[in-house]
Amino acid sequence: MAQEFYIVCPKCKHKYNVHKMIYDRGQNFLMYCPNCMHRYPRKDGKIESSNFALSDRQ
Amino acid sequence: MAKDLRYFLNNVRRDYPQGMITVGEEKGMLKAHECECTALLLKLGKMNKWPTAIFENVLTPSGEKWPGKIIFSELSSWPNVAVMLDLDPQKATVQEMAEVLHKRGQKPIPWSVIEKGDAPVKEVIWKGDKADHFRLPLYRKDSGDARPGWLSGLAVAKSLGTGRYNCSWHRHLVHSSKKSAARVNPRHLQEIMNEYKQAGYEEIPVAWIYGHHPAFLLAAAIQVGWDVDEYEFAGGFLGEPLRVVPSETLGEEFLVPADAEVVVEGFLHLTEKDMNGPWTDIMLYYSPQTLEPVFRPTVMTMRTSPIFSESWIGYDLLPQVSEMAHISLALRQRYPRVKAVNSLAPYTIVIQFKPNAPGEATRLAAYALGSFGDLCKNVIVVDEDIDPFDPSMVFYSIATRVDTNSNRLQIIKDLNANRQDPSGQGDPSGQGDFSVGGLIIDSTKPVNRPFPEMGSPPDEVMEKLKIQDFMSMEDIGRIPSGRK
Repeated sequence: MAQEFYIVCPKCKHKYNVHKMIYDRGQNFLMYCPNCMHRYPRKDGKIESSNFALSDRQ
Repeated sequence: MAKDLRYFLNNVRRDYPQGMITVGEEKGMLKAHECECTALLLKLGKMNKWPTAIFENVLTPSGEKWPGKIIFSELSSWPNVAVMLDLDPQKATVQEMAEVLHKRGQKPIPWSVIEKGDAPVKEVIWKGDKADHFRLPLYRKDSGDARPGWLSGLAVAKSLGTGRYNCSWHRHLVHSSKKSAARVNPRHLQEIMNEYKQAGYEEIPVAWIYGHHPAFLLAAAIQVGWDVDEYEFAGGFLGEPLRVVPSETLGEEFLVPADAEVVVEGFLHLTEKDMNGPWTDIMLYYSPQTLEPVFRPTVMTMRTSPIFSESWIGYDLLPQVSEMAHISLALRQRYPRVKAVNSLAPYTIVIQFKPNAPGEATRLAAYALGSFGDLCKNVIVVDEDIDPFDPSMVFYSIATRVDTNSNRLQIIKDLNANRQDPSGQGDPSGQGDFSVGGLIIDSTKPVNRPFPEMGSPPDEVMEKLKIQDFMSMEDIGRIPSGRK
């Protein structure tokens, strides 16, 4: 399957799947919560799982 | 009357009224961007009812009522497909529809340009701040589909080198009044974007079409050769020239369908990207969020009281019919004895074909794997006595005619996978390797060796006895179809 990770939005706690291409942008890349539309740096979200090795796990 | 969505709907009302349902204005306002329309559709689906659905009272994210209607699933059932092809929905078989599609696909018809004053899609024009995404009936299908809302439309682009028009389907996540992120797979639209980028452009003009005759929508879902103008290809499927009119943004340099319900003109950026997803696509799983090209609208034109077309992807027949038509066109060029092709499930096709030599069915299957790119990974070949549109008969054929100890079943490794395929391995971004395995199942009867025939009453008895001489059609009508 696609290389993806699940992250939890720091604002509304919604969990959703994101492609690895976005993970590879780095921990300061702005994520987008599909539920509350909050934009936040990746490091502020909690990564719960992934199907690839996380290079800089929080 | 030119063939457009209203022509199609009038024919459905006349020839197959049970294929359509309308949720009237008096039932109250629905929020398509909060999954309210698809919730009702799914409730119908759980009752095994699959109508074309029109909603008359829909709220847009701007807070305004959409000044028209929205429609889901024009091609919700095979009788509706028959209506689209001007066949009798009560009598036409899927095989007959496949034959008509095959013939029309071979005869592109040049488009015809009409005056702006004669173009229904120019009845209303929104420019400047009025060309606002949030004034459109954005929708979400499922709870995890990203907010605020989506558009799933037919994108028209024009090759810089050849001037050919390209039509393709794309979903885009709307982020603001003037920005969305459109999912672009590495196919023809991507090639056109590459043309413009190499020529030094920062963006390309694109027009999104929301609502037209389903034959045009179907033609756009078929990936034709790079040398085929898709406005002409659509004309072939319509059976008449596609009427086009100069766009508001680029005039005669960029023509748009005159009989569309809504056209959104704008520019797709070649480097700027934003988030797209999650979204459940044809596989019904949530595709992960990715970065996709940004689109900015310039002008929106539409009919008075337009019927905005939404896509209940994964539940209507458009993808299945388009794959059926495309693969049939490609295969019959080399194998004219192919009788029919069915898209049984995502990436899985069934070909009805009687081989004349051992191994011929396997060669045909291998040809099919290559003819549809990353949209085909499993090919099942069945004989002429097996209905490829009946899944139970397809499984019957596999169960009784395939010995998996032999080469009748072959696993094909390392096919390039479709980006949406949840079983693929690797990087689906389009930048790296993404592969998947596939299957070839030859379930045809062995050539030049005896094999049992299937039983049925004698042909002469079947011909002689007319069922209505022994049972009333009223009694037969009361018997439910199927075994549930």
